[in-house]
Amino acid sequence: MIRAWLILVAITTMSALFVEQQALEQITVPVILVLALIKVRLIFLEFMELRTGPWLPRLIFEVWAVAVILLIMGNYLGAYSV
Amino acid sequence: MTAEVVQAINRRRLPGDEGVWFFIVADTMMFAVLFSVFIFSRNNAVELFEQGRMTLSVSVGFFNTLILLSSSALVALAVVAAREGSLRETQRYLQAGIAIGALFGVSKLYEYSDKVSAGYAINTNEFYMYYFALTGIHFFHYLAGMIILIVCLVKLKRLSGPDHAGYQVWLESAGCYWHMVDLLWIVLFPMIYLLQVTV
Repeated sequence: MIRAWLILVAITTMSALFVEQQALEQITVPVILVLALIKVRLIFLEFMELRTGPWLPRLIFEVWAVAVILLIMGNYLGAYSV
Repeated sequence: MTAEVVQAINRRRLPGDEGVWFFIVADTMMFAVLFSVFIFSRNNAVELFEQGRMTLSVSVGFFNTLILLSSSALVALAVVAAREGSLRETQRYLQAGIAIGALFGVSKLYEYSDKVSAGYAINTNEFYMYYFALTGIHFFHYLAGMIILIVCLVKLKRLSGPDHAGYQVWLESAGCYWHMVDLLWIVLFPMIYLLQVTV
């Protein structure tokens, strides 16, 4: 549990540093969202214990997380061409 | 299928009450719809949403993320301690989780009051309508979670006798709801605060 928390804090700090890096603007959106996806998965797998839980709730959360992140990423990447 | 595999499958269980899990799944689906509405509205007014986003405080958002992650971890540790029968540890972790979780409320109220005093309100423009609505709905979920955790703490102090199975279900259910509040913020925060347009 503490290991999961340390990873989550490290990823959040990485996201904060990444947002600060103006030179990396072009790939900021995908990186931030992939980091968010990793965090969401860590929360439902470790904190909500779905790693050792039944397959159906885990499948629902896996699909939910990927779908939501892809939806947001598609929209924000699409905005580049606006 | 070996006997070990069958045993492993039988051991797989959902923490907490199944009804709470039904609510958690339904709630996360509702938020997926809200996220979709936000991003499709943003598509029609990219510049307005970008201008609005730039008025938000990213550092406060990161602070809030760390608060919720830490509070979630402490509540998860409380669940583990309760399973091991260590009620004293459970109480300590739960108290710490509630105390750190309370910081999110203070920080969020500060953020709202800062925005209102700067002249931004729910009717300022479309971006601020979504900002207040989405973070507000999340904030109500947070408040409900805090109340549930406090109820868990009160119930823990009133526990008597060796059978804690009923309390364990309560605590696990409350914990899973609290982690859902955390999980939703992890998506909400980058979507509203971080993702800039770099045309």
